[in-house]
Amino acid sequence: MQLRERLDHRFAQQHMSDLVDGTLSARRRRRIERHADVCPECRPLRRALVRLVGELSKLRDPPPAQPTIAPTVVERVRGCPEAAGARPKRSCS
Amino acid sequence: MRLHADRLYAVVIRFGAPGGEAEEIVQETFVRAWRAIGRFKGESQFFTWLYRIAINEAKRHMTRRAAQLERVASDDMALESIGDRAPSPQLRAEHQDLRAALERAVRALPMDYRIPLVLRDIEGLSTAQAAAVMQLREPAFKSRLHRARLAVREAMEDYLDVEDQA
Ligand SMILES: [Zn+2]
Repeated sequence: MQLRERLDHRFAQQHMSDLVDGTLSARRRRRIERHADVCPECRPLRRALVRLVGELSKLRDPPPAQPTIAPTVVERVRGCPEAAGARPKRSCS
Repeated sequence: MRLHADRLYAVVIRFGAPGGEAEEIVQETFVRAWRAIGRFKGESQFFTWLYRIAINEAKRHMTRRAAQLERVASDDMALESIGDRAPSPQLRAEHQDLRAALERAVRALPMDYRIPLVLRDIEGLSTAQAAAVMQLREPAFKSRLHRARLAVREAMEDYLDVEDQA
């Protein structure tokens, strides 16, 4: 491997997440893309990170079985006399 | 506010707190937030702070349970080894589903790496917001996020590293 390729490889390995997140300048993006197209390590890395980030975003919806705790929280905050000077309606404990 | 409470609950659960404790953490966070609400200028500053309090609370709870639950001694060491803790072939058969495997891989990450991944990739916070929650500079945050993704990728190799169909 030539020096240039080694440097591109190292750069790509370090910044592949930035590529996936779209936070690189056009020039840096082209540098990684060109390298990843032909590198046997960086190509699968790019593919895997794109998939991974896509799959992780799908975890955002909590499983349906999860209980909703919002009402309890709202009740407790409303009932707390220290809450922003609100007049207490019930015990804070 | 209801929406934020449920979101925060989901996040705290992902940080490893069991249901009852997570509920306690979120309630505590909101009570503290309510008391301090006047100090915040904008909504975004307020929610950054809300996440930060919840994370610190969750960490505190987790540290108390550290002996059984978390290997906190060395994040680097633990990060290298999350591949080893990926499901065995038999276990994998029980957890065929990608979502379950992914949840397991995320849970196996040490806290300092799990937090950036949860905030950015699962909760969808921007890099700037998530870095602010963690009180890190963006480059440091990005580097941690990248390492977390690499560790999850390694643990999920069989699921993610497959050639594109077509
Ligand atoms: Zn490469």
